[in-house]
Amino acid sequence: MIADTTQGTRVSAERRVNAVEVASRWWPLGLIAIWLVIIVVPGLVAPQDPLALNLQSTLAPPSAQHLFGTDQAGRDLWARCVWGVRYSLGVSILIVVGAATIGTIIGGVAGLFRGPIDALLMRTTDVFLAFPYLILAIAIASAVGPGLTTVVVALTAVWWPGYARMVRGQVLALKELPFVEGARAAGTSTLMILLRHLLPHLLPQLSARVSMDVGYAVLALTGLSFLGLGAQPPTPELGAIIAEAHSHLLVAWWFTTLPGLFVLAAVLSSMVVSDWLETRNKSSFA
Amino acid sequence: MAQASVCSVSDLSVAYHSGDGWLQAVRTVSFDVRRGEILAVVGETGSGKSTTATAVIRMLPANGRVISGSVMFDGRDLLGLSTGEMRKLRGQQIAYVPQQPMSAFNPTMTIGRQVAEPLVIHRGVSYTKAAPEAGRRLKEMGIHEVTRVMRSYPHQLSGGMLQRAMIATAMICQPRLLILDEPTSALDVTIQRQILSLIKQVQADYQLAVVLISHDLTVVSQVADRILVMYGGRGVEVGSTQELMTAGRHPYTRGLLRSTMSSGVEHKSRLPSLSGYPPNPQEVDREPGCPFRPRCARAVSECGEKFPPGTFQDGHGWACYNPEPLS
Amino acid sequence: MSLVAQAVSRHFTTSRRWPLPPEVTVGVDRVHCSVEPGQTLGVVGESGSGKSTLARLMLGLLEPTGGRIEFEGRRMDSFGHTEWREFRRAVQPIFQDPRSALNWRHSIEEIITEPLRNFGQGAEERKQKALALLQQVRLPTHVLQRQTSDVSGGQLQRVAIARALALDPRYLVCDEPLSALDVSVQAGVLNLLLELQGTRHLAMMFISHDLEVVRHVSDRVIVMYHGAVMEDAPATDLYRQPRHPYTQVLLGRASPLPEDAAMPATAPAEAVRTLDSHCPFADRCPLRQARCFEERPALRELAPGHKAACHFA
Repeated sequence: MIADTTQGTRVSAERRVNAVEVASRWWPLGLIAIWLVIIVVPGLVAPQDPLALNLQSTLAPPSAQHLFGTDQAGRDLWARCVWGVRYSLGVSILIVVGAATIGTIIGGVAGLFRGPIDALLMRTTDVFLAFPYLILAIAIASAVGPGLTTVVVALTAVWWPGYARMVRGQVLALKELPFVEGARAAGTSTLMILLRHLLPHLLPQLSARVSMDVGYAVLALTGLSFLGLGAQPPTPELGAIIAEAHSHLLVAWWFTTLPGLFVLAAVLSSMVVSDWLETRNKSSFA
Repeated sequence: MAQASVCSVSDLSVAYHSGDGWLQAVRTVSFDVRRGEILAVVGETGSGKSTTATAVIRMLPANGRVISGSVMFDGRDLLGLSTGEMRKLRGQQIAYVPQQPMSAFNPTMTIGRQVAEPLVIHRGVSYTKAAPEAGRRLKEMGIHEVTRVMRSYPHQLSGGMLQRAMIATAMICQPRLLILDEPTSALDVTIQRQILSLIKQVQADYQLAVVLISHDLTVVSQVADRILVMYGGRGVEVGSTQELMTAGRHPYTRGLLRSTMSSGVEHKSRLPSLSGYPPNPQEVDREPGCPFRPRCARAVSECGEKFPPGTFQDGHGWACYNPEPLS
Repeated sequence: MSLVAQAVSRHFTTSRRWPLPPEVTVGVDRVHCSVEPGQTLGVVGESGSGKSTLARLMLGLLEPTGGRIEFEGRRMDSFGHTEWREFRRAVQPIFQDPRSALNWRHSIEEIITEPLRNFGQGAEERKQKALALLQQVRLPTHVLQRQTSDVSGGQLQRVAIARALALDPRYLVCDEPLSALDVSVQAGVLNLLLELQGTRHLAMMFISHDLEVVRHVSDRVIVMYHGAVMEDAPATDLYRQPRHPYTQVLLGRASPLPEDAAMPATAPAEAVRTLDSHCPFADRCPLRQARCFEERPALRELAPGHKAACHFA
């Protein structure tokens, strides 16, 4: 029988919103903020001029004046590294976002239209997927010379196919969802369906992957520059710096270590942010 | 038939932990089920009916907790038993048929294996020894081509056949209490009727105590002996089917009956309807008093302060400060 | 001026294994029906009957593999871009489950105004129209900024109705509009649909497995089984005197034979080549005889305006 003598215990505990809880959930944003500062206002972090030659004190160890010593031309290493990581990260983001955009359009069109268009686009994707980026970069460099354009083109060209495949797979599944039918019945064009309806569903996974790929791009870019195919001196770029440094390894340990640490920091940060985005995606999955 | 109570639930309250706090899904619900009767627990979204059932057999999801109350079965409080003891009861003494027969079976095992499984687990017999018993049960449940069905996989059978197989699985150890969660909701209309009469027949043959959970009052009224109506996590009315269908006292019960289709209504006319929507646990948490108040035409000032105490009259009970008059 | 299906069929190819011939299943088989202004055509059937496929054919979301659909005298297969635009304005759907039929990553306002965006209305106009539509479906204005997860099922279906009305359509195709809603909420939504039909003189196609609801809202009813029409009659006639055995079973006035264990009820596994060799309901029909397995009954008129496809009705 129904029997109720009490109001019923209020179980919902008070929401304890405190700084520790917020910090533990949102700290990767802080990480992103730090990198943004480095990219946008490097002067704030490194007051020294990375290009200032000072032949009096070449290969000087860390001191009060030069926190991390100088390189073989007397330039402040810390400043060079800060400008270098700015270059690396900036270019990597450019490459990955570019590749993601191209890949999304191609994968989206292939998945939505199917048929011969799908076949054509996917076989093209397969061709690009087969290219090793290193060989491609060397080939382009031998044609038009090394430099920023060379590496950007080489890396973007081999990066977009991964996105095309991923997006196509997702679009194939998403377009069977009932709301896509509803959109068609409301007169929405296929392009608008991709942009207005499917993109919001693609973005979470895309952003997590983009974030992770930035880390890989930094490594690839650094490697290409180390081989001399990327940034040319005197542009500070981490790979180039390491290339200059490795011959002085035994006399100036700080010269190779510091740029390496910066690369490590950049890559780790991208992994952390990517991981964080993925956990956030899972929790808001509808 | 005033028989002994097989299972007695008192003041059961269940809550779920979600994100940052607890949401109470069931608030101090009490009822009992007797031998040889079908008790239907009827409610809509947010009523807490499924949560009540899963709490009784202690199969709440990981974030669910029973925060108060007791469930007496055979003189023991099920909530106090150890996991091992509870496991011995499930499938043997207390059987549970989950929603959606299509998804409740393991798609990689044949039906025969799955129907015999309770016997294999609880009585320790091998599958070969248990198989004939499984076949007998399936036949009892109205399946004709028993051998073929036993060798089939779930995806090869229709919803109605699967539901019959599911009930056979539940009955194979001859439990004393059978709980069915929305047994007909996923089935076609023509099959629904058949399954309901099957349930009635099984109950009569074995003198079972049956708890039937549903959102459809008209469907259960065909087979239930007594009905418990739930709303917003509370029990709001309980009584015999006859009483509730003709002389329901709670405004929600009456409103539900009025807004369902009946043959006397004029073609294309406006149907009497309840305004508003069933509340979710967050909404019930925010407002003290009766969860039905926002939609109730008979609400009085007390309704907003405290949930009404129950009034009982010959086995018919309701929780309302201003119940519908006897028509 | 109506929306008419003439002997419309839709077959689905379920497997292509060259060089074997492809397997084809029947979704809809030679259906005739018409949706008239101010009137409701009820479509009744269980799972696998083809009623949802028929809805999509009428909405132009699927192309028929046989027969044709005419919209106000013009054949759908001859539509050019302008005709399609006109058609989309005039014919709108209400689907069963608003939680999946509406994009849950959009706000309520975006959902309601999408049809208006497609037809080029400006932001201010769209907002005004959205507020007016909310009023018509009896939803409070604060709902506009919400996400679908903040809103109950019944309210969400009203949002779906508001969206369908945005372009002032003349036809509404409702595929099980009440089935996913709570029982206490269904009557309200049904009343809303009836009211809208009255004030806007809408032509409505109402699909449901619930016969009582269909009887209440329809002027004419067709009963479908395995993709074909079994009975076609004015609503009152159908319920007063159902002629086809399947209709009688649906109405609870007859019992079907026990299910054949091999047939999953949801997949009409009729191979196309055997379609005309027997009555689709033969294996479960309480009235069945030898003839039912040899010859497929045609849909014939048994009383004025009342047709059934049975040898023995």
